[in-house]
Amino acid sequence: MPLILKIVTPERIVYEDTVDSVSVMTQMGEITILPGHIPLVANLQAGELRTKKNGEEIFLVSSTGFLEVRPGNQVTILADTAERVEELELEKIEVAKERARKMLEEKRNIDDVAFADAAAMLERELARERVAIKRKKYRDVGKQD
Amino acid sequence: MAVQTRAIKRRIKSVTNTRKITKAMELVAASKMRKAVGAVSASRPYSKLAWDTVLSVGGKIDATLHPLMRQSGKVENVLILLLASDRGLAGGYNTNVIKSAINEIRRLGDSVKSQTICIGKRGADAMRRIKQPVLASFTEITNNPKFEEILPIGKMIINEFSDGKYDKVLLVYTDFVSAISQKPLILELLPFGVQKKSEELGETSEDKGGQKKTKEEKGDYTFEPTPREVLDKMLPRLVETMVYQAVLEAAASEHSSRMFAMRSASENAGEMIDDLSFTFNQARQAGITQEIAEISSGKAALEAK
Repeated sequence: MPLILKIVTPERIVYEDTVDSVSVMTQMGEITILPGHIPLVANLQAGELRTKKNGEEIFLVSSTGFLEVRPGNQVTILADTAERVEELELEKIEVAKERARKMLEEKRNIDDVAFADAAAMLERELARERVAIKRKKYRDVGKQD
Repeated sequence: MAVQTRAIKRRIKSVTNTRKITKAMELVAASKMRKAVGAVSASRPYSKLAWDTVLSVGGKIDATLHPLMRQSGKVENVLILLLASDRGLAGGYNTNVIKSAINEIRRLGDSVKSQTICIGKRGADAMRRIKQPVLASFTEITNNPKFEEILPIGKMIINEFSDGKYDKVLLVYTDFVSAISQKPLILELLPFGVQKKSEELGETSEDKGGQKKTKEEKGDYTFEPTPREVLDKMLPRLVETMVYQAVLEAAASEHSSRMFAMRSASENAGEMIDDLSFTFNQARQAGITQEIAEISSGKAALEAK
């Protein structure tokens, strides 16, 4: 019995499919959910998100959010942002990261809330960059074969 | 005669100008509506799922775990968040939502103290008129709602509720069903975990089929890292999401009802112009006929001499 996976952000439904397994970064570290998992609610950390379907892996990046495993093999991921790796562009991430870093510096001594926001933004961009670089290597290797 | 035709002419001109304005407003409202409808349908799945999560989790855990789940045995203080628009000329939009808020306040009765937070000038004005205390009034939000803009509202609701000042928080807004149908709704936002499944935010005919309810399947939820930590992050976020979704629904409803109000106004103006032109032509023809009659009778009188 496969998992019914839904990855949703406030902007759109990023991914919706039945899959064999899904691995996500939670606050406690990476976990993999297989069919028959007990009901679970966990906080998500910005990072890589992998799902497996028929032996094929699909890579996504998500930022902070929540994970809910419901009875009946339903997995719902409510993330603030999430993208598929194919949608990531390293150059743009680089720019966004720099902007986030600059903002973090500016806000450091001014405003706690803005500082926390900027920190979360930087964390998100770093996670995207990490995943993009990692997956790019894989793809490049794949091309040489 | 000349006086009457001039008066009609002036009237036609003024109605034409009115029609130009209503036509322009219709176009503006239509483009805003398209944007608002896009935003509302994009964020619906998220808030729907988030709401479902809280409903399914909320029923299964201890309500004392988090201040936002605090249930008071007796409801004495109620906070009402009313979503109306800043501007009028939107058909029955404001009237309907305000009416349903007032009915709710009446229904609560005298034993319950209620306060309102208003979004949109019209709502605040109406509440002042019925001498309902207004805790805060936010404006300039429904025109083009952004998530950052509703954060202070969410924060305010969370703080007021956590402090124990209120036992219940209600959202009164207009649900966007379709471009031609919007209905005012009342949603019990806080405390979490007691809500009935009846009229949920953003539920329309289209997404009823997609969501399979896992109602009666039992099983305790595991929380990672701890229930408190998860709820601490999740519940405030959910309040914000629900308020944001309600604002989006309200904005889409506002713009579409304004568009339809303006469309019918333009149509009515068109009819009026047709009517007036007809009367104008009649009056002009009557004037000409009368003049001819006067001239020919004058001539006949001269010839008769």
